[in-house]
Amino acid sequence: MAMKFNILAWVSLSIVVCNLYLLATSRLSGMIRGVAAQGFLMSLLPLLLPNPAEKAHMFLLVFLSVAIKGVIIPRYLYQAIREVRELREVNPAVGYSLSVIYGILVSAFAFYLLGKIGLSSVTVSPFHAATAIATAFIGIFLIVARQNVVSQIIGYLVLENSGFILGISIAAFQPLFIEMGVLLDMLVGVFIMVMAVNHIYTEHDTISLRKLERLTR
Amino acid sequence: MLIEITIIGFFLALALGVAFCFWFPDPRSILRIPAAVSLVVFLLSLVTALGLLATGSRLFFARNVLLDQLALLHVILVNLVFLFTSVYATGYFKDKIRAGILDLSYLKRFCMLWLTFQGLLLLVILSNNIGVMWVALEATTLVSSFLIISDAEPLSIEAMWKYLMICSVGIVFAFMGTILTVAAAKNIQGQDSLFLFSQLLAHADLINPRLMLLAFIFIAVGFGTKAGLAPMHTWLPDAHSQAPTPVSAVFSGVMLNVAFYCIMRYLPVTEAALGGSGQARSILLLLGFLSLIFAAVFIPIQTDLKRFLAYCSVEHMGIIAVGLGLGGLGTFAALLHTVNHSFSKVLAFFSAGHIGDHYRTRDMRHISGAVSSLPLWGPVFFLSLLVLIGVAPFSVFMSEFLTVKAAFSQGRYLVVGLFLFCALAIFISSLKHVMGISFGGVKNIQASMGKARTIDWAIALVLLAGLLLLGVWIPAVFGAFLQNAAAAIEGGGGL
Repeated sequence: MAMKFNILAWVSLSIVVCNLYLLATSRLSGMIRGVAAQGFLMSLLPLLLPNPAEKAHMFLLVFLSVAIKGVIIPRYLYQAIREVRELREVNPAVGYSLSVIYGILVSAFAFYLLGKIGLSSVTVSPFHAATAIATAFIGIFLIVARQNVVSQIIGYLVLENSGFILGISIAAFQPLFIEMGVLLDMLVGVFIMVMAVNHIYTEHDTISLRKLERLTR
Repeated sequence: MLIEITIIGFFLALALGVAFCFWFPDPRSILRIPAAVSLVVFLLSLVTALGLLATGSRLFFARNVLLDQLALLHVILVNLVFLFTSVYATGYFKDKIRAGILDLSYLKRFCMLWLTFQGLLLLVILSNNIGVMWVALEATTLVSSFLIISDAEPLSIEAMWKYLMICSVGIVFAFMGTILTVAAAKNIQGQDSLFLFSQLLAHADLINPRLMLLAFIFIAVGFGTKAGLAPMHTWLPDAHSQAPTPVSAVFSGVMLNVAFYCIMRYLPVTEAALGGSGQARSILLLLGFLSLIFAAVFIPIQTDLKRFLAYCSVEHMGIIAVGLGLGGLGTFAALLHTVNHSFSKVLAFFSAGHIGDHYRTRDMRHISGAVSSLPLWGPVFFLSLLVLIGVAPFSVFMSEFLTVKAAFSQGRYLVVGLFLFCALAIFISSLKHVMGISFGGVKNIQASMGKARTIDWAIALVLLAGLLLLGVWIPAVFGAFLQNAAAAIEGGGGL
């Protein structure tokens, strides 16, 4: 039990570190690696739950989640950036060092907030909920502060990850078909987003949204 | 048994329709398939309605389907709007193809996505399981994002991106709300039943109130994003303006309502858990007024006709939120407003689409004299907009009046004042837009459209007659039906 708890703390910490890495890097390939690592780590969380009721269900979930979040989606995103030949985020709205400082602050805030709202009484471990909240803040930040559409997709993935962590920590196990539905929706969502990226690239020769702001007001 | 069969019938008909579209050889007449299928589904939903009145049961398929009056109202609304719009689309796309703006291969994709979209919306409504409801609503975003893109609109890809991104983020919030609801309901026995609305309602006293309130905030923001409530509405004007007209019509006419329906389902659970303290309602009141204020600020400066209509949707979703936020008579008014808004907005989009093609622009500064220059759709535009902005004695006026009356009878004069102020500001600026388009010298006509079809006349007249009728007289059967639907939100309806 104590060892499981220790491992859990390390996994949660690694997820937060992935968040900071995503904020620090400008290279899209680096970001994809970061989100893949995060997806992989997060998929392991169900294994660390105390007394899982249904073993088969748990292993199936871990397997699917690792496959989709750790392998399929990152590979697909790699392909997408290779085709559009745009490897870096250019001129983000918020600089990288400032982003990292933001990341550290919101992570600290999330762990502080957790004690306040008393969410820890219903979650499996205090780490889960705080990690989820911190990750959600980072995901939203990436979507808002980055101009590149691929960075925004990664922000969306990070946000989805935070929902997954929260789900694991609170509902422990949902009916399997709902979890499958969630993963499937995520997968299809990314496929569609990448298709949109290709559309945007062929029409505008860039995947930065800077030049794509004709629809305002 | 009858109801189970009709529900299977909905999905079977839609699935067969999709398959039929896939193998259909002639793309020119492929649009008849969605029209035929939606007619079948609509007739089935009438049978469902009769069946539901005969039996008392509301839970079907081992409690996985919840079909009470509230759900039935939305099912009929979805099916009716899809029927009208599918029929309208047959003429709309025919004109586009003749003008060479649209690719034939587009139509096949369109028809398949269209039917899938309708099926998913029905699944959201019928689901008693909060997880399935979430998954289905997320899937509607994915399916419908492709409906926005068309070759005719170069900016549609940008609109689609915004729609996809903003609604996906919103839906993640809704997911967290769903999870938090389950967390709040932990004391209810049995893991599976934590996900069922009927169980949550029956054991609301066991739900942790603080967590449930937190969950409801996530639910209101998350589903509110998809329902077009301000300040999460920013995808809406883009998507509505860039999508093909039939798509704009169903987006505005039913998709927003279905997202709102999810909030309506969570509201009684939250209120019951909080012991009727009204905190959940005040969240809706806040979002409703934000929407009204955003609409009041942005409607005057619109130049694009369809963007103007999109901001009207933000306004009307705000009115529905205010009605729900007030409760009591306000809930009844909100449901009536849902019906009124759907029908008038569908009609407004139909005519706006034709006006846009007629003048080859949607810039309202370059459109005038539509009533005299465009037969059928010109006058229909004028009338439907009068209904939409709440001119007496039409039905939208009636539901807005009831909302004000609800606030008045509760002694909430600040709500009355703010509501009337926003409604008046929107009324004046909208009327200015409408007058400019409808009357004045005819200029700038680029294309002469084919004559309006008989079926188009029929659609327009039926909808207008309905909107006038509901304004002056609500038939007793329909009134009782709405009362029962409102009771499902107010008191849980005793599931």
